[in-house]
Amino acid sequence: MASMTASDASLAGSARVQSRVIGALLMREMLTRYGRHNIGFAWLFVEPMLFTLGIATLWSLTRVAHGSSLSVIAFAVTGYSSVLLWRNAASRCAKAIEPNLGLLYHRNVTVLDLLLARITLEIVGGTAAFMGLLVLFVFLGEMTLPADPLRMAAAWGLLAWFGTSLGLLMGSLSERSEVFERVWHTLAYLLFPLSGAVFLVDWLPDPAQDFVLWLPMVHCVEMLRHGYFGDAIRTFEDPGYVAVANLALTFAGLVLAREAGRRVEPQ
Amino acid sequence: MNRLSSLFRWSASGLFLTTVALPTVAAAVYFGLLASTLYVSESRFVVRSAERVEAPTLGALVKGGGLSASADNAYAVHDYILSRDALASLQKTTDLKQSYASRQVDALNRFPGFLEDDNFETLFDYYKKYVSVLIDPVSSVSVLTVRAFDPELAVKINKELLARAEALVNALNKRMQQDLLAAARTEVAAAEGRMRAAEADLAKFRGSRNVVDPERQAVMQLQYSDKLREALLTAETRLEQVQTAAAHSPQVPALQRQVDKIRRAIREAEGRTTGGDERSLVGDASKYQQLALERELAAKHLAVTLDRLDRAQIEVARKQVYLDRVAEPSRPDGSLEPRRLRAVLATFFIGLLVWGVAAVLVAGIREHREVL
Repeated sequence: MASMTASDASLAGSARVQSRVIGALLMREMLTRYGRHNIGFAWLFVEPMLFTLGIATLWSLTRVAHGSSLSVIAFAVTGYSSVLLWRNAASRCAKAIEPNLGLLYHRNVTVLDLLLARITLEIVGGTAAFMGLLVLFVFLGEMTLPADPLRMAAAWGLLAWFGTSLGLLMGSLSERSEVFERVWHTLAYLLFPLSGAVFLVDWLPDPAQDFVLWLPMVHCVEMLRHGYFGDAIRTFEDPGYVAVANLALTFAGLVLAREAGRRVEPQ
Repeated sequence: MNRLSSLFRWSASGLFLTTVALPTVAAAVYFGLLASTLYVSESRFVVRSAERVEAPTLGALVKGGGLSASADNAYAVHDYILSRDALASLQKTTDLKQSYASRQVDALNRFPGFLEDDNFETLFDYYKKYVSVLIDPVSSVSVLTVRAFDPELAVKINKELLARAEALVNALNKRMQQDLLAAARTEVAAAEGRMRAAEADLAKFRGSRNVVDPERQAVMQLQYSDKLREALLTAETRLEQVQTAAAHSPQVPALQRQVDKIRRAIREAEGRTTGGDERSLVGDASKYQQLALERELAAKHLAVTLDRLDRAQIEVARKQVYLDRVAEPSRPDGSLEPRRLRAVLATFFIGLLVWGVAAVLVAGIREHREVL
């Protein structure tokens, strides 16, 4: 037990160091990506906002496949912002290690830190974009205030966790072989229509429902919409399933990240 | 891999305890000793209407606006079963609340639990957790599942719910029948009334005018006056003949009287047919036309309303909804829930996952060291 306390003390210290490292990597990432001119780092959330804004406009103009009285804009915002969250987090981590090999020479910079920095950045951007759009549309009167913000926050948290685990996996796997990166782009593209952004699980025929509910992000989007629309819709989320799936994916991602670190770090 | 396992061993003893050992032991204690047995009673039924709607196989895949009437009715029954009304009626006939709130039930599953108040609303939320209705989309069979801590109660609740559902279906049928037929029946009554009134008016008119059918009678009158004219012509000719042959013949006055008589008869006849005479047949004819037309229309109207009533009755027969029991509520002699071993194993494995994640994270943190 004595050794426990000693290592506990340094655990806190190590944690502090790690958070500083991740913070620094974050700043570096932001600056290298967005620079200081133009609106600079504001692109971090303006870019996803524009994406979602475009989609929302398109859908509301064409009244895409809605037999229901749900607000198209609310539907688009809740759906597409969620997809951007996990897709961007994962995509940015692909091939994240190679260009930053030089950084790994520092003792305190690990692969995990690199990946976590990028993931955090994307999550912050995606979250800010979503909240910004929510505020904007509520202000314009196109959207009403959500029915259950706590549930929405929980759903967003689960989505962010999912995105994190995907990012860890992508970062580590893409370092092994570039096949994974190519596969990921295709997979992400194919996953978009399945991810629950464009439909409510309630709209699908029963066999399709069972199939689509294997994907954790579908549950998260359902939960997000449940929080926003309240009792107006029937949703099928199972947060327990998402938590377990996320746990498994995170574990795999973490292990692979450490493994990648060992391969790459010049020791 | 070796470094990984040594890393785990080094950093993990306290972690392992909290994330794996402790939860698994707690789960084992709870599911092994404390958790109360749940008994499940299941019944199956089908809600269908007399009209057979064959859902095409493609239709079974593509759900959408084309729900058949029986699917709508099935969902109505489902909604009823999971409604406050059903719970209220159950409370009157079973001791549902006492059973779920009894001390026999373990504290985590008991009603009302730690944070909830004891009122109807929370009982309703609780009720919805233990009663479920699911429909098999292909066969349209609904499965009613009741879980309770006492096997007898489970069966009783199930039976009660089925009975209530049947009562609901019957009430809906009756209502539909009344709605569809009431309107048709009043229409028929009105049409009959109209018909009778028309007949009565016509009879009254005939009686007051002493005519049966003015038009035909007018024709007959005209024929008669034609004949009279012929006779007049003959008589006048004879008179002329006699006058020119023998002006002082005693036949002349007789013939003259005949001619006058015929003329008078003609005037009378024509007066009866036309003219402003109140006994004029032409005047009567137009009134008679009106009344005859009204009677014809009333007859047609009656025919139409009778036909509608007929069709409404066919529709009622077609739309009758039936609740057929496919399987009676089962009596559980053993319990399937809670699945104790499964729950403990699940806790163990999830604990392992959490431990894995935590261990790697902690190891990652430890890699960072303060420099100077």
